[in-house]
Amino acid sequence: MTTPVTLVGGIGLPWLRDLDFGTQWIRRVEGLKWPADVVLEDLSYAGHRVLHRLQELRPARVVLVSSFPRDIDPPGTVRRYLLDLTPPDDAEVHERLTEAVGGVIDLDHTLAIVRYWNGFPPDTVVIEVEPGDQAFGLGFSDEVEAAVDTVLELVWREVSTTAVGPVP
Amino acid sequence: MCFKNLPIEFDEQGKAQLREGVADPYAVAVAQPREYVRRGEGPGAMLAPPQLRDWNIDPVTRVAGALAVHTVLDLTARKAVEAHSQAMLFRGYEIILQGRDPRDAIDISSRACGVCGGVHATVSSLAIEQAFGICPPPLGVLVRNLGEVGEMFYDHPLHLGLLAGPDYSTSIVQVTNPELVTRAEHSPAPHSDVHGYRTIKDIMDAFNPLTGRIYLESLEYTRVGRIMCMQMYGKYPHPSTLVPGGVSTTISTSSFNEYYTQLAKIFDYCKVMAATWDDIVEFFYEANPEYEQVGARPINLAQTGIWDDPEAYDATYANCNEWGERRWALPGVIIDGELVTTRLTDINMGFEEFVEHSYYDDWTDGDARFATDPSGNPISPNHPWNKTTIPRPTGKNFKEKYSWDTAPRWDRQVVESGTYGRMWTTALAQKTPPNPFLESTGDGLRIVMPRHELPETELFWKVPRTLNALERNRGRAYAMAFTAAIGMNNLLKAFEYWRAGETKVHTKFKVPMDERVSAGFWEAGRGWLVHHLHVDKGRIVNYQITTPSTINASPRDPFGQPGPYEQAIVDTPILESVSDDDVKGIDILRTIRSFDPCMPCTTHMDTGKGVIVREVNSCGCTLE
Repeated sequence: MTTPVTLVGGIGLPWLRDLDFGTQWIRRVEGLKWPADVVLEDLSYAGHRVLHRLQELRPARVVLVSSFPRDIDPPGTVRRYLLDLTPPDDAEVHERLTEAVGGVIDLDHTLAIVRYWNGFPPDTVVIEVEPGDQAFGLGFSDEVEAAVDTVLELVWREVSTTAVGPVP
Repeated sequence: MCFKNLPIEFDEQGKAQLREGVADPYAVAVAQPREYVRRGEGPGAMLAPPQLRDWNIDPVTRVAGALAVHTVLDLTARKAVEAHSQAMLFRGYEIILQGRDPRDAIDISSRACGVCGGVHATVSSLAIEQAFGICPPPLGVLVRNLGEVGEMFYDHPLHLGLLAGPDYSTSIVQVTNPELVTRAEHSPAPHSDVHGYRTIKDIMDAFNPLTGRIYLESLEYTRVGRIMCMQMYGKYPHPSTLVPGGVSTTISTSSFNEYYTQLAKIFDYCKVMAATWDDIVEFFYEANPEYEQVGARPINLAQTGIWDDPEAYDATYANCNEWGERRWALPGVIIDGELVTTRLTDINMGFEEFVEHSYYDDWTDGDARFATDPSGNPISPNHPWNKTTIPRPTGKNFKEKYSWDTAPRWDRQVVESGTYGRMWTTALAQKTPPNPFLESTGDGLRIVMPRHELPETELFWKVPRTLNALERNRGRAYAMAFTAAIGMNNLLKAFEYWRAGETKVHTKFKVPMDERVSAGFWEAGRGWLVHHLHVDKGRIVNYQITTPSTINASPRDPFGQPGPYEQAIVDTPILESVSDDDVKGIDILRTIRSFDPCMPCTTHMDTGKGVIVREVNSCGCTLE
């Protein structure tokens, strides 16, 4: 019997500056020393494929890291929420799945599709950053760059009982 | 002699040249747009039928990316009388790629599509290795072939189960043609012993979105396809192991064994899909023979072929006709049902792109960069090697410009491309080498699917007499088995090389600093895929991508000819058994979806400010 794992997954959009936060954040922190039961992965692919991955891995906990423009907070704002696992309605899932199979990748599509097929464990947390610069290019805006360590602290709190953060 | 519009002729040695005495061989005489008018008359106007209704779909759902279709329905004659297909996004990969190291093109062009990232990376590798003058070792070619087989097992189930299949589901047919559901309940399914559905109604239930068995199974089989890709490419999406001169994946015996395990899972699904779609297609034809006219257009197809023979492929343009004709899926052009060529140079030199009704400026003022291809065959100023992408979204109306897609034509004729198209060329050409799984008979393809849980089964895909919506889908269903057969042949060949110790999958290269032009010829799930490349001083001078949906979604050309979607929609009968006010346009939607549109590849992203909205981070196979 394998030990249940905690999956920390990043979702980002390559070369779109702040929108690539999830992917780039994972790359920056994956070399740190994490607890043995923590798996860090780039989940920047279509929602149904993330569902398939979760069905394979069957994690006990999931922490998703991404940036997503909600236009309710200033750029760089970090939001953390326990995911409400109530499945979306059929019409929404059908529409989002149709887009996802055609290549649309984003946090909300993944959340909708995976929830519909009960792919998330009850303990699923989302940590998302409000993006600022969404232009073509590499690197983050100053506001989002400043959020990198905040997100690391939040994720560490989710996955570890120790107060000390991950070390290189 | 395959050209009848372009003044290209061949000498006794088969070398192409422009016909002497033609002052301007590539002159374009722009036709006045012809459209229906409601009141009065205008230039090119046609008499409007009495009961017209505008019927606009924007966006068309269940396709990849942003496509809008504007039609005019004649509700007296119960048919579509006009259509305009609009690619709604500009993406501009060609512009992004200018000035970059050519090796960047593999990773960047891979993002042109969220479905076919590996396909774009492959064709980019082909174009670059041709420019660099290198060739992969045989096993490198085979690994690429096997990866492409895996790609198809994402594309085909997706189309059959999730995108086009629901158009034939109980939940939709109940709304548009309830009498067909009643009929289906009492119609035994002829192939129930294969697929397990007792009646046609059971099949239609299985097509229901989110709950139907076919819908859910198809979603699951896309996973198998992606696993196969990962065995060969290391990861998906956007594999980074596809490189000029082969692949950089670490391949082992277990790579092939695990690949075979996945492929074998698909054998039965191939049998079931062919049987299921045979039953659905024949049911609709029997219920109403007019379904044969839904989405029908002339049998004009253009394909670039896939799956190279490692013993023939040398990556050179000079020998592309020889290695092209050794592909498992043959390149070719079919005009009015006749195969007119299988030579890649003919296909390439007859190809032009027009922007008369597209949101681009014409680039053909002044001298063309190239008068010929690298082998001396003439090419048009409108050829991709001569093209400059100049976005100009002005004159937005159907008489002037209305799409971000260009109008590609072959020999100035409207051609479409599709999965069924490469089966069509392969069937007609009869050049398939002897093998245990696939035979080209001249009128179809005989395919042997090995035993799994179902017994070994021989399938026969017959070349259809009509190119219509149902036959596109049926062809796609048989493409499952066609692809699996090719996968088996390539896998057995790979084992031979592996056993012989020829395990190298990559050739070293240096980036040349001199000027080179090249073309990667390959196919996506949906058909034609070519990347045209021009490099100099180690940088990209010009990079042009043409995809199947670039061709299929095209707007009218300067000669007034509608694009393939538009042609297929016009004259499509409205067969819904509901009142005029309740018409849903399902037969128009079936028409469009049968092509499996992929708009992200059609329009390739760039905006002046670099701001990109959610919708374009996806498969967008039609745009520039």
